[in-house]
Amino acid sequence: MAFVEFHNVKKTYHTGEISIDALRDVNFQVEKGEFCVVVGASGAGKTTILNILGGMDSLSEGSVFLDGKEISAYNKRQLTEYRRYDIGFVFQFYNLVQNLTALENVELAAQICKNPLPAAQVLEAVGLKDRMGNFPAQLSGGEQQRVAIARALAKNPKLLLCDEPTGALDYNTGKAVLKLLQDTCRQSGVTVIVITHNQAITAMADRIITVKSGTVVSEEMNSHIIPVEQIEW
Amino acid sequence: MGSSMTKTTLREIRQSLGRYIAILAIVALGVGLFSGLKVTRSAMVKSAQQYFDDTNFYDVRLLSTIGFDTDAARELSRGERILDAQGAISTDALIMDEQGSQNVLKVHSLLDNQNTPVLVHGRMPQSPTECVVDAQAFGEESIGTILTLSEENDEDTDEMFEQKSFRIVGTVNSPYYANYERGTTSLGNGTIQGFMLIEREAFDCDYDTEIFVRINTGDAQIYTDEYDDAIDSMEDWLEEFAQQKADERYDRLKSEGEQQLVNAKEQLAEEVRQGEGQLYDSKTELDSAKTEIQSSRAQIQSGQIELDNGRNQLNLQEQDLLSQKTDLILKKQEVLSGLDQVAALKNQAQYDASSYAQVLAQEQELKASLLEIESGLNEIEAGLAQIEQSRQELNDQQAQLTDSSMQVDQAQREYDAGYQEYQQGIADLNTSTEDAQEELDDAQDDLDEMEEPDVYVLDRNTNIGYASFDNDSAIVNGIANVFPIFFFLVAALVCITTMNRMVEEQRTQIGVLKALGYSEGVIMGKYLFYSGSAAGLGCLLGFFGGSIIFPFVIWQSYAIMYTMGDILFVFDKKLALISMAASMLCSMGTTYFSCRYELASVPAQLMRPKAPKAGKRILLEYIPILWNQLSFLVKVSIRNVLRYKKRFFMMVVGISGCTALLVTGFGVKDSIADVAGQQFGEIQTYGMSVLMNEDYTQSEWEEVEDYLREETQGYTRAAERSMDVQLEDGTTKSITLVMPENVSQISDYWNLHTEDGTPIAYPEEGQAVLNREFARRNGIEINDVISLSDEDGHELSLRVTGLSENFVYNYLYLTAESWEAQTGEEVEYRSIYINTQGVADEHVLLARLMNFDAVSSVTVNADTLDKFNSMMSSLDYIVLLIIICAGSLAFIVLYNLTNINITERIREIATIKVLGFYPTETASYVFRENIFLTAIGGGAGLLLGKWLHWFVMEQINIDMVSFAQVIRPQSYLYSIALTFVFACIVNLVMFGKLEKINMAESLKSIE
Repeated sequence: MAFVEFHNVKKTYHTGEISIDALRDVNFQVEKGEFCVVVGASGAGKTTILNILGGMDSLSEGSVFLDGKEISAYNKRQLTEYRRYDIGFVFQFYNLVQNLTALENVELAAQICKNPLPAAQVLEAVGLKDRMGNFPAQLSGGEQQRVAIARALAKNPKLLLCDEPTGALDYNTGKAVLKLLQDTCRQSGVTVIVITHNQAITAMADRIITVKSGTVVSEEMNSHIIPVEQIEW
Repeated sequence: MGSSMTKTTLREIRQSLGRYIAILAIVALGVGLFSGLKVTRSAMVKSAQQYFDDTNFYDVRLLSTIGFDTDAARELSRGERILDAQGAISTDALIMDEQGSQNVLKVHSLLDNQNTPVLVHGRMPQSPTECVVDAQAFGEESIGTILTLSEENDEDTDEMFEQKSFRIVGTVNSPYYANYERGTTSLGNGTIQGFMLIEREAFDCDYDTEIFVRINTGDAQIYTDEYDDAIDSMEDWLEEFAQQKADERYDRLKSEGEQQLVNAKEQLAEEVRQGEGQLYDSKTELDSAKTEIQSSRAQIQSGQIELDNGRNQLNLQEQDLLSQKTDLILKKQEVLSGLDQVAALKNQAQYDASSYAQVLAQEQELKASLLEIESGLNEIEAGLAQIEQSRQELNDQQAQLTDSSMQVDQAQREYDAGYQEYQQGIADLNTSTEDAQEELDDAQDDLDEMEEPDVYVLDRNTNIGYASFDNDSAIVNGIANVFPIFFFLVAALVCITTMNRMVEEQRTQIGVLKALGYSEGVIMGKYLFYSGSAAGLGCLLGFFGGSIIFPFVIWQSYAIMYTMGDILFVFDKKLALISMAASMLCSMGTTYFSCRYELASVPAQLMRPKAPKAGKRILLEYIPILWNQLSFLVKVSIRNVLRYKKRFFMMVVGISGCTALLVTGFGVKDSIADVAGQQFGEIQTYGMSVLMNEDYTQSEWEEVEDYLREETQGYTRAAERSMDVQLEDGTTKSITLVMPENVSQISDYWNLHTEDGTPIAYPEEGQAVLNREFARRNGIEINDVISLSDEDGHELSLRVTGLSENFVYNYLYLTAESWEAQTGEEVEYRSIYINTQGVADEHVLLARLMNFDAVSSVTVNADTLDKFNSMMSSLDYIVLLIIICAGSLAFIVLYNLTNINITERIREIATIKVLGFYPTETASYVFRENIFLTAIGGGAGLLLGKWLHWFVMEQINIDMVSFAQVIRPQSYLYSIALTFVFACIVNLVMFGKLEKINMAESLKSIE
């Protein structure tokens, strides 16, 4: 069994009398330690996949497994624990707590885990050794995103979920963040799933999953992995 | 405003109903409190006005030192602007109830249609033998019982009454006694227990002691200058009238008195003349009787002498006769022996003729002598018999004489008695003349001393009930000035933060609207309408709610002291306008300022996300020793608290206000509830007191004492009396003097101590200790010398050596020596304080004690305590009101702030949810801040509450009761606990809202 498995996942939103299928027949799998990119246009359903995989939303039909456990069968409490112990999130807008310093933002996540990594060490690893005492407002976008990644990594998660991590960043910074994510994946062996609308990023992925109109249209392993420095968009 | 703008505005309201209601509620609360408290005074005055109108309360009362003739009132009632004038009689009298308990009642004659009493139970009197009594002093059960005029009343009082006993047919409240005070008196124990109303015919009084006048004052409202002016303008004329009437009465009484005096003098002279005439007659009679007696005596004496002479003569004659008789008998025997010799010679001489003849001759001779002798003897016998007869006659005369002597003796005795009578008559005449003369002199003196009458024109301000209602109802106004400012401040803060947040949330929308070409005015209108309509509705709700609830509740609590019928509600247009203006200022004004900045920005700027407010290091962080101890969740809370100064300020103000109000509410209850308990638990520690009759005897006292010694743990005697303290401003204040018989024992019955419990030494001669509140209120300090006086002309001057804690009534303690030294009068110990510890049933003891003739009344302190407590319990309404207000305030503030806090931080909350925080962890992450602010606010509130409580208690100023400035520790605890309970309720409500926050929010872009 693969590390992450989606089996015939269907998600229907009900708005009044209208039902909209945000996802249908979604099937894919991701192996442990892979750097996976989920790509699709706006409204294709990739955020819904992220929500479901991240334990933030339930599904209507089908099943989702992570590391052999069926998370689609989890109740609310189990989902919270799942998010708490198994998942690391990186948001498009970093979502740092403004009132906490970089270090404290990392600690915020670390303090609720069973085996957290030392916050300072993680921050050092993402290259923010000198900015630990700064508040988010004193950091640049890239730095903030690094803090966010550090925050996700400090939890020592099984899976790192990144939602448009470069969406709010400029070109170079975006690249640097992607590099950081890829390096993390390679070095610590954590499975990373990046969700993006940017087709270019797929070049650096181990596995590329393309979503269109609420379903997976292709799932392929990348045979020509290009280092992120060489990707251009 | 276009239709789509209207739509979006209305939808906005529907979608953010919580926020809308928060503004509405805080404004309603503020306006309610403001208009409620402000209008309470007007409502109370209006109700009082209605009451005084309904009962035809007098405007002016005329008094003169000699009363008025009954036609004076009739004449006055025809005067200009006079609606009605009626003469009345009132007097203090000792009245005994069926149990034999004596109390002083003020007895008034009932008037037609003036000062009309309001029946509580029963009916009005229909005959002079019936009465209605004070509902405050008599319960319904007293109806049907008989009140009797006590025999201890002085003659003057007694003579005023035609009827001496009255059957109670009803209990009433009188406008003349609108509050609980009944005044003091020189009779009995010095306090007037209550009033009693009887028909005029029940008095035996041909004059009026006072005249009650109602004046046409137009529409002037009571307690206004207009009214006072209307009365003032009549006062001179009334005074003149009263003076004239009094003078006329005075002149008449004086001339009548003089005429009577002249008549009396003449009568006296006539009586003296008659008496003297009678005495003269009897003197003459006595004298003639005396002469007669004397002449009789002389006659008897001479008779006696004659009689005695007669007797002597008779005795002499008898002796003479008897000696003659003896001579004759001797002669006879000689003759007889001669005859014998003759006979013998005859025989011898028979033979001798001569001799014979001789013998014969001799014999013849002898025989003749014998015959002579015999006849002589006979004569003598006859003489003797005659003497005997004369003697008998003399004896008869003697008897007659003795008889008349006795008659004379009788006459003498009669004379003596008559003489004595005569002497007595003289003495009697003298004394009666003297007495009469003295009486005449007294009457003359009285007449000479009869002072020119003084008259008094007393308006309503001299009526305790009327005047103190003015002050007492003004108290509410005092409070009204503090609370509402507070609430409006909070309301303004709530509006500012709410609207600020709303505008911030809708930056983009504002930008879009601007971009679409809507004018600033229209956009502003939306927010102005939002806050304005909320505040407007809240204002209306608050205005009407407050105008009804506050007067009603406060009226209920005033019913302890005042009996004035039902509250009338006042809806003051001016107040409504002020409230509305203030509400609008709070809501729309603050909205305007919140919007102005945002609206000034260009649309592009508005549509870009506003940079979140930067985190900042706080002072505490520079103290690593402390800072590093904190978990960073606490750190973030502290940073957040200090990050939003406005919110911090509002939260602390709001919550501290809530706590302060709670502390005040509970504190008012503590201060009031504790009063009677402390008075009878810590100060007047005796369980029962007995009042003895005036002038009870030593033996009567010994009986009572024996009984008390047997039945109780201890007792001590003391004197209590009421005196007036002269104050610096020239007025006087009544205070009760306590003078113990035995100073060393008094501490077991009166525990004198200061506020903090330090015992106060009993004052020595020339010194006094009095209660602190009384001293404070009247500016008396330790070492001041105070002057006291009373109606009986006693005067005291004492140096204050201590101020004692006391709550109920006002007491001044001194020694009997001080009293005796300064007044020269002996102290009469009529009060007995009894230690009732170990007494099974105090009321049994009471009944037993009442059975002693010398006992006038008995008071059980536990009863008084009960009475007080039940009175005070109605103040619970106010406390409840304050607590509800405080709770509402806290709830609104907390709800609003938490609401803002959450909406502001939805992304943050969603993020930490995504991070895997459990719901409780998420909640505590958010609410820790609330709790933190609640703690700060609560702490500040405790201090603020202590001050507010002090302020409120200062405003509640009742002469007879001093409230303790006490807030029990529990009350602080309850206040802070309740604040936290409110905070927790808000948090609970908000917990649901937190749960509903969608984690997907964290993925959205910043708006």
